[in-house]
Amino acid sequence: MKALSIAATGMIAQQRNVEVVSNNLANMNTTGFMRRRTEFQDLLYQNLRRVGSTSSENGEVVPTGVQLGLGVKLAGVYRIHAQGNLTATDNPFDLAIQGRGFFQIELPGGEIAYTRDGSFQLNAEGQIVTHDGYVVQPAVAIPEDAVDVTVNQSGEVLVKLQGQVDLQNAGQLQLALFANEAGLEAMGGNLFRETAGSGGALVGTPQADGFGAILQGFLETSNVNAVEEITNLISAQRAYEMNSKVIQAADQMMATLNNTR
Amino acid sequence: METPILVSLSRQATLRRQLEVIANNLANMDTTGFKAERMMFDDHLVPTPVGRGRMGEQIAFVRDVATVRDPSTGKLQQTGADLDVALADEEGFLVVQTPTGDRYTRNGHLRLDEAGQLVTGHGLPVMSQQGTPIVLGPLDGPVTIAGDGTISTGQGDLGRLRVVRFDAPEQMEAIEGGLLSTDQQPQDVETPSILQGTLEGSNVEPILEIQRMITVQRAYDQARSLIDREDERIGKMMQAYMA
Repeated sequence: MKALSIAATGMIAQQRNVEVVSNNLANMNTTGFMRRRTEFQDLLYQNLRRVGSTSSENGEVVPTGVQLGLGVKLAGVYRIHAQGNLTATDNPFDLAIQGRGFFQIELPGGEIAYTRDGSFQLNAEGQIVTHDGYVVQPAVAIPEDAVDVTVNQSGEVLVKLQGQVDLQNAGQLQLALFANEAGLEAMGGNLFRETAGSGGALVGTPQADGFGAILQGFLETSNVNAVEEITNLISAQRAYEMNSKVIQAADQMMATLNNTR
Repeated sequence: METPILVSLSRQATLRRQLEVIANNLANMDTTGFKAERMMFDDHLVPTPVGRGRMGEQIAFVRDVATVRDPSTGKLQQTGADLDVALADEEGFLVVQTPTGDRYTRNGHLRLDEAGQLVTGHGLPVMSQQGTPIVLGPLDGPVTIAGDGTISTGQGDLGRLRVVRFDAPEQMEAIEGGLLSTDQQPQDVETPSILQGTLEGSNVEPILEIQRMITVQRAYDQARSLIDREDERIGKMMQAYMA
């Protein structure tokens, strides 16, 4: 009874689907979170009668053949890099990216990670850091006597020093782009790592060609759409149920077989 | 000898395979671009020894001769991803380059590979009308895919997705991952209708599949009870002879 194992692949696939949906819903309020979507593929086909095989000596060809599919598999879980909503926070170190690009973060090991979560703070040296204390690259230090900090759309960090009228340039934030953003590996903590699939990082100034702009005092919320996720959850649950019904039907057919005298 | 049992058996064997087709349809309910399949049955006639003449009886065994794909368009699902495209017309296919030649798919879940080349979910390049892969640069900005398949970014047009159709799409052979192969010559669709940010779901109708599943199950039971009754009949006949 292949139907049993085919239905089992369907149940496993729907289980993964529910897992992805629940992760999306759990991260509904995570800053910079990008929703995931499961992508399924059909498995191999078994040819009982091959398409195009000849059915007689005269050379007639089987037009369709009998092909039995062997179920479904999870082809991938991909992120949807659509822009999330921007919410105003009025915190000077909350930076949102409008458009494409990632902030670069230096991890303790020296590795560079990428994020769209711009809820930054200052550390003891006045550097802009993430909430884990990792320094945003290129490092920008805010002088101790600064009374006001402005980050403009092209990433220039301008500070107003005590007793001065003109703003001073304290540094320049840069963004990274990838040929294939979807190929970045999620590390947790809203961070991403470069992979062979993503291509190398291309670093540039915000608002330059192809790069997004930086908005100070805003955070990018997740792009999860709760209504969509709930409907996905319902349909995944029902699909799971239907696949389990197939298992029951196959089981009963085998019972029928066993009860034959 | 025992033809009623053998006829029932031929029915049971095909019903099992039909259940497998239904199980595969239900398992692929959420597979992008999946087309539901149906089993087609045929009778295989065998003349009986008594009836070789014109009025002769024939015994009809059941055979499953073909699985046919339902070509109708599946439900369209909004995904919001720039590189997800759905082919709104029933007969179009995207052309995918594989090491063993061109393959065709209706699964429009596209992505970029590390070189910025537009590829399918399996990482196989999708062809433009010029027969070349389409490459997007990291600085190109947001991608727009127009209704006719023209891909453009802030840097201008990058080419048009090639959409083809076939005279006999039912003769295409399914290989895994939503890819189809065929020896037929593809014909270009001049005015495809492509939807960006959308994927074509499967066209499996769960209610119909469940209904078919129940029918299969009941038919299987019936075939069994026929075998049982035939067994009883032979038993009675034996008893009559013995007595």
